[in-house]
Amino acid sequence: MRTFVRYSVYLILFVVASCSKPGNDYLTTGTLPDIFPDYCGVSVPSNIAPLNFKLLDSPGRIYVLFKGKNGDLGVSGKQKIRIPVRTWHKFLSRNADDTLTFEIFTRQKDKWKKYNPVEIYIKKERADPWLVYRLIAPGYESWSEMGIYQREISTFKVRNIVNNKVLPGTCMNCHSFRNNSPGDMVFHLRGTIGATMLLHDGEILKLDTRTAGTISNCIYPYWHPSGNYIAFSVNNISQIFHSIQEKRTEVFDSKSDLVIYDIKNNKLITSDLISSDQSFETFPAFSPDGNSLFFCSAEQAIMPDNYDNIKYSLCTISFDPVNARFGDQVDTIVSALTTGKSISFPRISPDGRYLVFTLSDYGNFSIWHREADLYQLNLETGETKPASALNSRETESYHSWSSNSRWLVFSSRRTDGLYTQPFLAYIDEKGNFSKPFLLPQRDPDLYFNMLRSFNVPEFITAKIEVSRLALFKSIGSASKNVNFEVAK
Amino acid sequence: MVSNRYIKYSEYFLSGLFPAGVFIFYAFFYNSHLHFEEQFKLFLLSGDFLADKLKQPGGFIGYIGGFLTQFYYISLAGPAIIAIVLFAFQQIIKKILEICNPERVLYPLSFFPPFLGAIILLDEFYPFSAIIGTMLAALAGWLYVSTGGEKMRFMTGLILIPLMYWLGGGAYLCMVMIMIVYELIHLIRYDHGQSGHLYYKAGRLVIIAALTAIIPFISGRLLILKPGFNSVMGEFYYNKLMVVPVLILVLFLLIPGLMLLAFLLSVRKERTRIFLAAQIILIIGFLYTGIKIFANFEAEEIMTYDQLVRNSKWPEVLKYAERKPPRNFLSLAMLNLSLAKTERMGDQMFSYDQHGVNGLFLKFDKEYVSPMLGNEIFYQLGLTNASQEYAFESMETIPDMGKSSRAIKRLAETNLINGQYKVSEKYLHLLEKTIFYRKWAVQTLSYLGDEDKINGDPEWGTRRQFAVLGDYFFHVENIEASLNRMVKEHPDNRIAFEYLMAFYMIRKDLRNVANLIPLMERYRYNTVPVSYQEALLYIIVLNGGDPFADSPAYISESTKSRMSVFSDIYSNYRDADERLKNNFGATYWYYLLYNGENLN
Repeated sequence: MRTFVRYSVYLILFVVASCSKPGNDYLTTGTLPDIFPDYCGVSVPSNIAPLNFKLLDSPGRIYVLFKGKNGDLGVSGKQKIRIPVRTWHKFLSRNADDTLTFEIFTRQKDKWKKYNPVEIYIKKERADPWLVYRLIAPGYESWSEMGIYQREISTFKVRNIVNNKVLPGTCMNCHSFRNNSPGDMVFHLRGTIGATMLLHDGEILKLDTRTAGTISNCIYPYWHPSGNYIAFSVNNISQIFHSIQEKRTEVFDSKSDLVIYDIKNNKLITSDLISSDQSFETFPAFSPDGNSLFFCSAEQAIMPDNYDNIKYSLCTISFDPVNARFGDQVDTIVSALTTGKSISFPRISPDGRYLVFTLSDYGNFSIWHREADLYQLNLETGETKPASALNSRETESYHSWSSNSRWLVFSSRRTDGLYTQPFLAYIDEKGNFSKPFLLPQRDPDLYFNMLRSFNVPEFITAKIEVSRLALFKSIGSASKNVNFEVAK
Repeated sequence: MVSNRYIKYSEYFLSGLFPAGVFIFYAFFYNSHLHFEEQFKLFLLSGDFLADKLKQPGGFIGYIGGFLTQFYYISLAGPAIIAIVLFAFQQIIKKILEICNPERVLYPLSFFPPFLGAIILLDEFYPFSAIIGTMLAALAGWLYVSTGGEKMRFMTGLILIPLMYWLGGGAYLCMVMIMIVYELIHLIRYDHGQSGHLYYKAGRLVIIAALTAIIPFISGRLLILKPGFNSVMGEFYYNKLMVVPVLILVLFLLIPGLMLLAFLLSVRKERTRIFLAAQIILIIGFLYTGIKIFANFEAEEIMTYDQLVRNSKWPEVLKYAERKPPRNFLSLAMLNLSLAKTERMGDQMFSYDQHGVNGLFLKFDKEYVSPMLGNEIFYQLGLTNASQEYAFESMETIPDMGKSSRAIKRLAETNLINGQYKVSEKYLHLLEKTIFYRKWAVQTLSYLGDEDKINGDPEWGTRRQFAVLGDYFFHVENIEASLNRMVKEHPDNRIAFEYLMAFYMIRKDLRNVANLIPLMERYRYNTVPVSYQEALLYIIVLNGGDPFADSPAYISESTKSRMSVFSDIYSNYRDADERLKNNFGATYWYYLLYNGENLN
């Protein structure tokens, strides 16, 4: 009896194994596999989570053989491949800085077929280990569940930082970090308990940034590398909705200025040069040395009448971080007169070599512009060119750098044209971007099933360890008012 | 002996009457509520959807509640499910009460919790999961009270508390109360206050109470990261998050309360009949009061209008309006849409009480009902982007932050019409994972990218045919401009023309009505709509003309002679308003002269 059971088990195992793995008897398709996410020819950091994927053109069983110089890894599945996290990282550690090939076999009508092998380049330069993003439906005026989350990129761990399920009616946005540091964070809450939340030096502060001297409360932030200041735009933002099929939403400023929040002295400072009545200034970004403030600027116009004529240039002004003083002139780095288009989201690599911005036909809210693409400015040569490797026919918009300047995460709507997803791309020493890849998920179907966009992806160097209880208490407390002054 | 038989038959009768009554009520008097709830509770048959639910306290009952709610899609399935679940709930309560007091005459007490459950479900903000949760707690309570041996019962309790918390969320409190009350009864019944036993039992109860208190605390701090009451109850007892579901808490208290009552009551044989009758009268009173307070039949009417419109049952809307004329803007807007779809807007619009343009178009006011209904109007007019905006807004304002199958279906359609096939596909693949929208989703998937098929579809092709050509920024406040553009861009869009006419006629803007009259020729009416004829005659009179001599040929003799009678009464009687109401209340003239209400 025992022998019978033993041989039965062997037989079952044999049958299962032979069904889930191809032998030498297979056909070749002669084509690359149609997989989602598309990992064919991408460069990934050595600390990336398993590249789980779905084979779109075959619903049957699949088997994948990842081949590296120092060993192979075989995984099987039904239409989807889900690789165990530990196994994957052991495999990656043996094959870092290597080119992996993966061979995909699919089983249809008792026959295995093999696709052309796919190559993946494993880069030894790691991306920052956590990614922070907001999840929100790409809607109109209202929002349902939204929250700011942190995701470990080497695993699939997602932790909620703040979510409106316990803060009904509240919107949270514009999270930003100093030099990718999880200890210095700012974000805004909008609604009845609206405020700017500042996590800094181990403290949580709730700030009311509305002042009599500014247009609005603080909006788009960017930390000074010293941690002493945060540049903000103050904007009168409106949104309107198109009627024709190609377009959906238009978001525009009818006024905007820049201010610097001096954290130690709890005051907002500005200069006439960055708060001019003659122009709109927005999307500030400090240079990595902290001595310059980059921003987008456009000539003032009546809105919304001129919504599609407003075009922003990339400008800069010097900043003295010791005395919190601005220079006496604004320089235009990339002029809208030259491009004929509009710049938003200037983001400088931490090594100071490159500035990536979004270019769209007009306005500054590029996420609703299908034509929006990423452009790369070489700050050493002044050369501007499209970051062609990153762009698609759909929107590319918000982007941020990893602390080692080797990885860029950006939001793109290329998958379906509406729901924004986070793509990561490698940039080499010479400033060439590799083909980007979509942040892997445990279940590759997540992107198909999710009805929320990944918004404002930001790399951080470690997990945010703020106590949620402390954060809630602070959110529930009274706001601290900030002061305002115009710098001489 | 007679009493026993009396009890037995009455119990059979009540046990049959109860589910039948629940079924009849929800099937024939409150059915639209169930359809309304179903459309705002997207339920997906997928592992992810289940996993997402199970990772939070109460997620299991949320899943079961959602699973059952999707059957509300079928008009009679919902009432049947509610009746069966409440009947099962009653049977469980009966078993618990029998342990507390085996006297059969007390059986009617077991009907109070399920009746309260039925009353709770009258409020659309209480999801079905709330009843499932309480029933599960009662089931767990029954398991506990049926467990023999103190130690075994204690061990059972220690397992059930965390288990019930995770499966059923806040209903674990109900189960704990059942356990505590049972232990009290047990103490009084069997232990006769023996002090040693008392301390022993008290110690166990303290452990139970401590466990009950600590579990949501740990869960709230470490697992689900939610504060206070939210971590105790979970999300599946009331659709408005952060609002205390008072009626459910009453239901939680009612069950242990009835246990105590059953234990304390002792009925002498000769009073059995009176006692039984008293309980039944109490139940009837309880039920009557509950329905009186909590049933919202005005909302039921709106939901009926909506349900008929959602399914394009335009003639049925008109029939329903004869029985239940609109009492608010929501119903009126649905009726007006149905009049337009049946080409009766110009003839019959003023047969109903019109109250300004808010009865034509619905404003979005940060809630989920009006945009869902309002999207239907824009969709039918060909304002596809506006329909999409409203459907999206509706889904984003659902109080429990869930998703809506109806909104997703509409978004799949609007994106299909707009040629946004990838987005449409996303929505259709979601609907493929439902039971009742799957077939439609699979069929619709075959349209993606097939321009000829879409253009040839009577519904989507028409929307494309009337698509907005020149871009402008849409807002419902500027609907007049939108309608004018539509009529200009697509002179054959008859429904847009009739809405524009209706807009001006309701606003009593006769100058613009007069301007539109020449456009009527495009639509080649066999008979020009009566209200248009009436408007034109009135305009002729206003301009000093002779309605009989100067009117165009398409003005019928009947309209002319009616005007003659109308003007006679209007000119000669002080109480003309009252005199005209019966025979001329449905005319545009009457509306013009006597409806002075808010018209904007």
